Amino acid sequence: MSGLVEKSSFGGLRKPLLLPAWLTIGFFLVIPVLTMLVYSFLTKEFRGGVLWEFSLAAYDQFFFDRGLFGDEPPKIEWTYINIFWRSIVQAAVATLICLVIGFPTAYFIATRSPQTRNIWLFLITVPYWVNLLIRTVSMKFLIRDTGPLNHWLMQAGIIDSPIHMINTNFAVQLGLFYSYLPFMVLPIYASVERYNFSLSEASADLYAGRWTTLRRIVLPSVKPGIIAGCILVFVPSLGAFLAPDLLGGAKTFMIGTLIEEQFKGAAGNWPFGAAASMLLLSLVMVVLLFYASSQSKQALHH
Amino acid sequence: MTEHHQENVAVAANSLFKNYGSVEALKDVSLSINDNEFFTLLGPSGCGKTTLLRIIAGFEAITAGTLFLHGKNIADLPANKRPVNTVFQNYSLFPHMSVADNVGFGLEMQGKDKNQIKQRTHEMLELVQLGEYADRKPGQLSGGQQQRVALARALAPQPEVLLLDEPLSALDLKLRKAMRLELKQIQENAGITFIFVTHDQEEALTMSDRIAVMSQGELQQLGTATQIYQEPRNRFVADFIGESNLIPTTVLSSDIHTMRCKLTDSISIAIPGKESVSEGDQGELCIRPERIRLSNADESANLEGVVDGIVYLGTDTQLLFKLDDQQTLSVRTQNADNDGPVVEVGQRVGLHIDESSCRFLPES
Amino acid sequence: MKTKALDQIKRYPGFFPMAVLCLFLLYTPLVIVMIYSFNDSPSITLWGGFSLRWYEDVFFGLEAAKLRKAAWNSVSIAAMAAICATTIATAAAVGMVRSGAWRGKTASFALLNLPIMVPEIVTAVATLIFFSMIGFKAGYATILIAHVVFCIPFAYLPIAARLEGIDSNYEQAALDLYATRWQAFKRVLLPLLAPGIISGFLLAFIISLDDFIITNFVKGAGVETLPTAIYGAIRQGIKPNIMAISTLMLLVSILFVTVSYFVGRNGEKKHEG
Repeated sequence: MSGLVEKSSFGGLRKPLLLPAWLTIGFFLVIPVLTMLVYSFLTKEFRGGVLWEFSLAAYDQFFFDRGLFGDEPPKIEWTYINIFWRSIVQAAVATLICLVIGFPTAYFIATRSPQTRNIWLFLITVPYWVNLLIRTVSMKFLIRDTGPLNHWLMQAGIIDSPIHMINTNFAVQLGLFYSYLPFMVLPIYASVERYNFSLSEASADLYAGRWTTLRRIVLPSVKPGIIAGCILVFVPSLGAFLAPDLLGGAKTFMIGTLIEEQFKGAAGNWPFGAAASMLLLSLVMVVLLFYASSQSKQALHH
Repeated sequence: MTEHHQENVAVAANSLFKNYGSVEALKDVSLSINDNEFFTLLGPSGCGKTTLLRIIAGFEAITAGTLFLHGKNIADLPANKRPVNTVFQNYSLFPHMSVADNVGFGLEMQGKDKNQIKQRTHEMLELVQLGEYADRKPGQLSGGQQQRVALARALAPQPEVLLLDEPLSALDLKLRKAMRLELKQIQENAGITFIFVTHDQEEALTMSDRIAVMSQGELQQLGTATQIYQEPRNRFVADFIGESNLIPTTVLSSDIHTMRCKLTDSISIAIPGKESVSEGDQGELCIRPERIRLSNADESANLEGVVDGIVYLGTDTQLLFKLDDQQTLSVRTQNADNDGPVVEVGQRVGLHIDESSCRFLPES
Repeated sequence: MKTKALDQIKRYPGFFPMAVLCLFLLYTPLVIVMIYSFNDSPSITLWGGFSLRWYEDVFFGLEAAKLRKAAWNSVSIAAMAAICATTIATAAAVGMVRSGAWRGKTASFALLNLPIMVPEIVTAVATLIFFSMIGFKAGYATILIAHVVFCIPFAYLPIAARLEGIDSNYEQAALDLYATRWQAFKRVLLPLLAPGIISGFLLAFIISLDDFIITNFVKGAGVETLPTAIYGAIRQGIKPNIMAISTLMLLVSILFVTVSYFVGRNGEKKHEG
């Protein structure tokens, strides 16, 4: 019956042990998010802040265009929807690139001897611990028009004039990819490490080629790690601020920069910022729920 | 309930039930364990033996029933207040403490003074022959040595009852056999009741004063090793302990001393009688393979069979026979006495069943 | 011989170059910034020879006092936030992992991990709005509170993972040997849990130190941490002294990951017993 025996040596103290965490997160995160929801339905005050009057203006502004004076018949406002759409695409592409580079890396590391494996893991982990701002600034420094990359390429005679990379979608993409690559490698590594390689042997024994084995046996087995990695890259990319802010420009606005502008920047529209934040949060929650349901489905299969 | 307490009873459990949600881990288990007894809970994994042990230790609450330790109701007493100690399956030696600190831990928690702890720890380590390992960490010891430390740790506070949860299962076969004798010896010297959980029947048969066979949360039979082997109460016990031929049968006639049971369509045998069995009852015959011999000149054959398979097992040989009604009968012959006829597959041979050793198992 | 045959099956051509590419991409920008932080030339592109002048500038230059203040804020907030978060998370981990099954456990788990799941920018907005609504003045305290909240899951996860790996028989053995629950925790569980707690603390510390977005929203005027100070500085363009600060922070990060790596390895070794 040992499988049924629950570890409950501190069962009686459950509430006092958990209460500090519940209260801290409840009071300083759950209530603030609810406050934000309320704010998104209030009237904006210029120069930040709100007036306590109910209004749908924030959401209306997001989705509809009523002309300069607000008296024209509503048309769909594409500006903000496009920003959201661009963010989703950027995050998806960043996730894909991270996967393409991250999976072989993770697999390669997991198949090394334990000592070599630790060195590789260490090397992959270090950038993850380095300040994100510093990493993004480093990337900006590297790819500037007058930065080292262009400088070398020109000196090597590969190009005549600097490639303009900064303030483009490509630069933002590069920044996102660079920011979250370790998030892809680590969970996939953990999955591959647990993978039982005798399954590959069995597959080979049954006449499957290497790549067929990878596709039919290895990939399905490590799928939980791949999905976890994709979530860990996609979700923060979606709401990223530093990469689009430092590496991009006005044309590469993403959700994060849009929201920031409502509070710290020139726009100063709190209800609109709150509404955009709510929409981003909803988007992320949909992704996470999708993930959770796929996880529990998997749990059922096992 | 104290008035029912008998002097020499260490643990008394009455109608214990334990549910995990909808799963019934223990169903109406009642047993009493005597002082200074080596008592074994035997059964396959998932039979509830470990649950029962953990209930006695105080790690699990009882769903229904009562539990007494030397006449005292301990059902609601937490583990750290019960004068009962456990040797865990994987020993659970605290890896960050030295061997001596592990052994002295219980005494320290009881608030004993330092000299006393030191002396008792030393005694216990001498008892398990690990005196010179006192300052090592558990991780630096072999499996067998860790096992001894776990034993010393549990014995140090002089518990009224020592619980052992499959303590030998992590050891290799040779060491396991040596430890069996040693455990038995330590139990006798210490004069403490041992409750031993195992799924290994050989372990149970060699060490125990009494054995409780469990299956699916229920107590199947309680008795000495010989009783359990020779007088299995039901099909489960007969099948789980040792090897047996279980043959469907009908009682043809029955009185207190003997009953006649159908063996094949044409042959019946007379076996010792049993109460509450009457003519026409259906059930199974339990015939131990070593109680069937190939018939020779001195012994008349009860029945005949055709040799269907021969399995050489070293000390003995297992022969499989097909009877006339297509039933299979397993027979064990010792390889020490090679007088018996050497048989070949396909050969028709006369067999002699020791009728007095056969048992009738009524349908449950 | 067997391992060689196995390797043939395990190995995929092209995976090794990919792994090297991965490291190359991760390190190139960092290494270049490191190199250029020693550049003597005030022009950040041309190489003007090796020099420590920008480090001198960081420590003794015009902005040194400001940077020192920001660094102190960063470190003191990170230390306090990590201590609070680790304490709360340790209690929560014991309450979650060692409490058997109960209704609402999944919800509790979700709540504990909410700060990781909510995008940072959303947390930043919500916290800013909340503090402004209740009239809490933005500054050092608001940064600290916000950091404690989002550090909790980062401290919780390694501690809970470690705790899952510790056989509950250890505490039960202690209880069996007459220890009270507090004694069982202090004498047995805590020492075994220590590597997890240290990893949790280090992770929480570095996450707090790393944070820019939330701090930027809740810091108020006048209070700066290193990331917000650097961000403010690079608005006017990347100057060589920024690269010197970056290099220093890089080294601090490497120190941290090294410490946490050895703590984790030692813990594993000890646990094998």
